[in-house]
Amino acid sequence: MSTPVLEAKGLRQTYVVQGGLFGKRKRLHALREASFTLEAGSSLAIVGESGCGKTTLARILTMIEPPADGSLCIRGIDIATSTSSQLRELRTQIQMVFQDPKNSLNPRRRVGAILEEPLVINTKLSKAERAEKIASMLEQVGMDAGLADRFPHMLSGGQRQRVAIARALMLNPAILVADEPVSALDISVQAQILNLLAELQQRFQLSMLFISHDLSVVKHIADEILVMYLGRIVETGKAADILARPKHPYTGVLIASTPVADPARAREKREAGLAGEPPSPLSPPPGCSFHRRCPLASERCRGEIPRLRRVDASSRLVACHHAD
Amino acid sequence: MSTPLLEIEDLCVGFASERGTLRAVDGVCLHVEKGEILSIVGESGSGKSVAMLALMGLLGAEATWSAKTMRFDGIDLLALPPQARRRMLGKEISMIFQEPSASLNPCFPVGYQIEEMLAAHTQLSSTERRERAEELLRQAGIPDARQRLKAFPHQLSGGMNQRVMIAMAIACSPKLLIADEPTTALDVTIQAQILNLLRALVDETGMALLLITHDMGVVAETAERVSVMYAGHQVESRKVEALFDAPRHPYTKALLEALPDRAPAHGHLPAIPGTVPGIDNRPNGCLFHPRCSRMQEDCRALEPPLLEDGDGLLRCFHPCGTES
Ligand SMILES: Nc1ncnc2c1ncn2[C@@H]1O[C@H](COP(=O)(O)OP(=O)(O)OP(=O)(O)O)[C@@H](O)[C@H]1O
Ligand SMILES: Nc1ncnc2c1ncn2[C@@H]1O[C@H](COP(=O)(O)OP(=O)(O)OP(=O)(O)O)[C@@H](O)[C@H]1O
Ligand SMILES: [Mg+2]
Ligand SMILES: [Mg+2]
Repeated sequence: MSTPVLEAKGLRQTYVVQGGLFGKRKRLHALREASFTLEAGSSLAIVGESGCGKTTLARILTMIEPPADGSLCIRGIDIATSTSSQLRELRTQIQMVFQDPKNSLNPRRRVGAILEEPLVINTKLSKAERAEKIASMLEQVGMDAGLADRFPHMLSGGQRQRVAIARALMLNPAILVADEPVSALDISVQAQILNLLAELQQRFQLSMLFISHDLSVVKHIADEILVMYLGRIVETGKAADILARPKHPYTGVLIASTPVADPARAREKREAGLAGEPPSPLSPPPGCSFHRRCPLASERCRGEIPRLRRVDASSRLVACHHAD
Repeated sequence: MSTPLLEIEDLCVGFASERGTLRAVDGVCLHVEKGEILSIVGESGSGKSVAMLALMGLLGAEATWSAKTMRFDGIDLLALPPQARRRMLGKEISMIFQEPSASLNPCFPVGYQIEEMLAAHTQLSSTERRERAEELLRQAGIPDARQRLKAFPHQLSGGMNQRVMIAMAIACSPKLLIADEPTTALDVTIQAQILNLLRALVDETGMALLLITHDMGVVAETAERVSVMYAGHQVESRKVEALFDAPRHPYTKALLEALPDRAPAHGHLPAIPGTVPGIDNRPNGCLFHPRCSRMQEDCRALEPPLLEDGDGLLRCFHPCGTES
């Protein structure tokens, strides 16, 4: 089982934005040289600072936007050279859950119709079979079947988020790309959704790419982690390894800043945090993007961009001059 | 005790439907002191957002609501004509909405939207407004704030839009800030920065903060008191340490047990069995009884009242920590 379901090589994305004085145009490098693979049936979590390019990467992987550079193979098919029928097939195999459910659900359609749409377009199921599938999917995401008659604005934030998850799962995709899929859910419903995804993974070899800022969720669901900072991958490897022994200083700060659900301990650790302003992709610092906030920063870090490299016998890669 | 800044007694909200009026919020009581941080937690769909929308006067036409008392800063909101009430909003009470797309206009640059807010509620000149908008974005942790003022919402990341909303909400120095899941799209380091910013406003200006969140780590680190909601009811309310140490309501206890960081990696998470009853099929008696491990005969038939319990409030016949 070593053929990856998804293989990204050197993906980049740049946007042209209004910048500077007199509205001069500027390039914004949202993503730089992202290379990684996703194995069948495994789950990869993407974590990183807000604005570091996670959603941009997800949009490229789900073929919503083409990369400025780099190649992407999904189930062995290079999307740059694939035929349109291959692409159509791939689009049903790879589904995305968007970060802002309110934006991604059609406000003029009822929940039932939203969930039915992919079935109508892509399957030959009868009306009754579709209705049955919708009811069972709603139940699996912890929602009352009666909610199928509602419009999205009549739902709570967490209910909308679950409709978005249900929609993405309607066609039993091979790959699920989920952008903060449980961020609006209370912990009990969140647990139910995470259990559901784990089960789908076991039963159908579902592969997952999971963007989340919640490291306790990541710890629970991810096999591998990919840490990003200002458009670059700075550390990847086995989730358990990285969470136990982070090697990139930014990963270390992330882990240390996770809020703990214990009021007595929480107040002691309030001071720990990251000093300095986050860098801007519109005017990235020279050298390592993290150097202005990094306790280990040296002369070399200010001038030379660190490459992702192997630092030990494991599969871990780290982009830091000082990691070992 | 001084008179609280916000005092809500017996708030009820219903939605009209073919099956009669459905109660989304039932008998909620909230007291918030000046300079206090109160957190509201509860299962998805339990009525947290709807209760706050009722306070803000932002419910749609299909909703009906009532309250015995609703006072803010000595003013009886129930007696206030809608227009005067709306004027108070945005200035004295402001709200950060759960989804950025609910309050950011996609057609205008974010800087323009913040400046409009300042124009409506302050006497600042247009240059001062520009400077204040930039300052606010910087405080919210957005790098290159001056340039980013010109960006449209779709050109910013999910977490950046969330921070733009935070900047808008604190722009006019409100006396009460209602923050509905304000950090769901933020990584932990920026989340810590935002929570520090909000805490500093509370400490320095006496602003009160009503924080809706499902992130128990955030609750533990930020809130002084917590109010727990279930299916439109308040079920427990007390000081944060006491709530985490010795939860009294079985729902509160189950919620804390479902925390992913209290469960082993990749194990099955202890989600609370069953689902929260939809607003159209609420059970008789205690609303939590079908899922409750401490359920007894009386719970099926009678609805427990919200009573004083130690230093808090509790709605349960057979609370945890008492054997019967
Ligand atoms: N359409 C666009 N035009 C211009 N800039 C964009 C566009 N989309 C994204 N960006 C920029 O690209 C960068 C990365 O954005 P992205 O949405 O990928 O971040 P993210 O990692 O998902 O952040 P978050 O956790 O806050 O959602 C940001 O600086 C953002 O402003
Ligand atoms: N316009 C509406 N018509 C009918 N029902 C509605 C409407 N708006 C909300 N509801 C219902 O009211 C209940 C409470 O919704 P609310 O948005 O307050 O939940 P919440 O506690 O904020 O949940 P979440 O944590 O998921 O955001 C939900 O069951 C929702 O489906
Ligand atoms: Mg994003
Ligand atoms: Mg809500």
